[in-house]
Parts: sequence; C-alpha cells; structure tokens
Amino acid sequence: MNTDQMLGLMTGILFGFLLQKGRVLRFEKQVGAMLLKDMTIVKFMLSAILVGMVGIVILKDAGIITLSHKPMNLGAVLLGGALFGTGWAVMGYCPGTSIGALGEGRWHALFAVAGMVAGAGRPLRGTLSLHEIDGSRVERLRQDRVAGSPWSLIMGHNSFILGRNDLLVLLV
Amino acid sequence: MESLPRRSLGRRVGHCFSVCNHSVDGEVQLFWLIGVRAAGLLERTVVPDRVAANEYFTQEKVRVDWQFMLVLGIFLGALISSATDRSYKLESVPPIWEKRFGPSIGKRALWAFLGGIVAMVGARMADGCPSGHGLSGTMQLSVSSLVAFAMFFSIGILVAAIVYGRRSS
Repeated sequence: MNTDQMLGLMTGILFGFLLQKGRVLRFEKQVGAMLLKDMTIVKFMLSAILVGMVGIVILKDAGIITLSHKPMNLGAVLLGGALFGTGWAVMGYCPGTSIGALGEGRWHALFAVAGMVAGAGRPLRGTLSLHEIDGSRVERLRQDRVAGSPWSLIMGHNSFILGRNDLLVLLV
Repeated sequence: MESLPRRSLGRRVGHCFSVCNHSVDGEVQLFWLIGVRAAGLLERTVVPDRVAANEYFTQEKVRVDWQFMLVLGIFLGALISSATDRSYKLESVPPIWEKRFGPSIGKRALWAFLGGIVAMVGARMADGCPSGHGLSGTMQLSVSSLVAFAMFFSIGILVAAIVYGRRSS
C-alpha cells in the first residue's frame, strides 16, 4: 500500500468512525431529516461545514491547499440535484453513508449500494448538461463555464469577483 | 453564436448521455468510486474480456487508489465504532420503512435498488453527493455546491413527504 492509499484508508476509518458516533449513518436519521422530524443530520452537517470552513481558509492562506470547485453547469446541477434528492429520499442513504450503514450491521443498505452501482454503469456514464439540451444557450453557457459561475450570466458581464465559482473570496 | 447541427430529440438525448464530461476535480467523489470503480472491478472479475474492450474502463483506469481506500475505511470505521459501543445491529428492514410498507425484504430491496439508480444518475449529473457537494463543496462556498445542496434537500423533503407521509406523529 502506498502513502496515498494509506492516507485514504486512515481518513476513511476516522470519517466512518465519527459518522457512526454522530449516528448519522442510519436510515431513520436520513429520512427523519427529510421529514423534518429529526435534525441530527442537519446539525451534524452544518457544524462540520462551519468547522471545516475555518480549516480550509487557514490552509488556503498558508498556501497548503488550493480550492477545488466542481463545475457549475446550471442545468446539470439542478436536474441532477433533483434526481439525487428523489433517490435519496426513497433509499434513505447517500453514497457515503450506505457503506457506513453496512459497517454498523444495517445490511439492507446492500440493496441501495447495488442500485447505485447499477446507476453508475455504462449506459448512463455521461454527464447531462444544460448546454447539451438547449442549443441556443450553448455560447452563453460556454462563456459562463470559462468564468466557472452562473453569476457572470446573471450579472451580464464577467465581474472579477462574481465571475468565479467561489463565494469565499467575498468573505475573506 | 455557434450554430449547432439539427438533431432529433432521441439522438440529442443519446448524445447527452454519451458525452463524458471529465471532472477537473480531485475531491472525494464517493459516488464515482462506488459506481464506476466498483462496477469496473465487478465487471473485470466477471467478464474480463469486456472490460479490456471497453474504452470507458481503459480511459478511466480501474484501480485501487486512495478514494477506494477511503470508502473501505468508512466501512471499517463504522464497524469499529459500532462494535465497541454496542450499537452494531443486524437489521433487514429499516423501522420507518417497516412501519409504512410492512416487513417485506423484497419490497424494500426493490425500492432501495431503484432509488439507488436514480440517486446515482443524479449524483453523476450534478457531479457530487452530500459528501462532495454538501460537505466538501459547501465548505469552500462553491456556487455549484450550494445550488446542488439546496436541490438535494428541497426535493428530498418533497419526495419523503409523499413517500413516507406525515400522518404518523
């Protein structure tokens, strides 16, 4: 095992351990959050985000890391997000927690994992983006993709700050 | 404005799915791993010739890297944690599900499988799941992640209300 694999494994064990301690791996907690009855996951995620954000700003300022944004294809993110939300509510797990749920004995998560493996299979391997559907908007979205943000599209020009897929620059 | 060749809807949809949008992102892409990598590993074990001939798997190298180890680690971490504090429990149908749809394992399996397919197609389209977008991306205040996170939860709340109902409380 090389260093990368070792670090991945250690991070994973710690992540899985803490997710389990936070009790967020469970179907009841995930569906409970979506039914607005159990806020465990919401609290867990928001605290993780706040703490992580501080760490990221410090590491970024120290030059140890660079920010890594996922591409902003508005159509793909909206449609994909909606599909994910639908599947998430029905199966009661997200990809990471399904594996963790198996670890704590909830073996029915295997069905969800099998479905996800099938969903990631060959016929659906592409990424559906809005500019592939709506040809008339190709050029605008292409420019937008260069800027990496929908804000340039909304603002109508490439603003130096808002043209980035990065709200962090506004805060720090 | 660049003019596009006219295409039928069917071909256009087909094209959408065949375009492989390579992510420039080195983030924790759990869904990608469990999906493509595991599918690749599985397929390589079952039908080795097909994987060798499949440009997708040769293009996206099937290998055990740090992301694979991370997912394995999540399993082990949850196992260690639950085994040491006695919260480990073998469960065949989730309680909420059982209350609403009965104790049938087959029914649960079918819907979890279908839900898994839909969720994974969505995650790959949006390029992230609650780990990649919800945690990692939101921490960096990526616009795409904030939008995706909002969609995950808002649609999840809507569908959960329809599927599980609100009558029991």
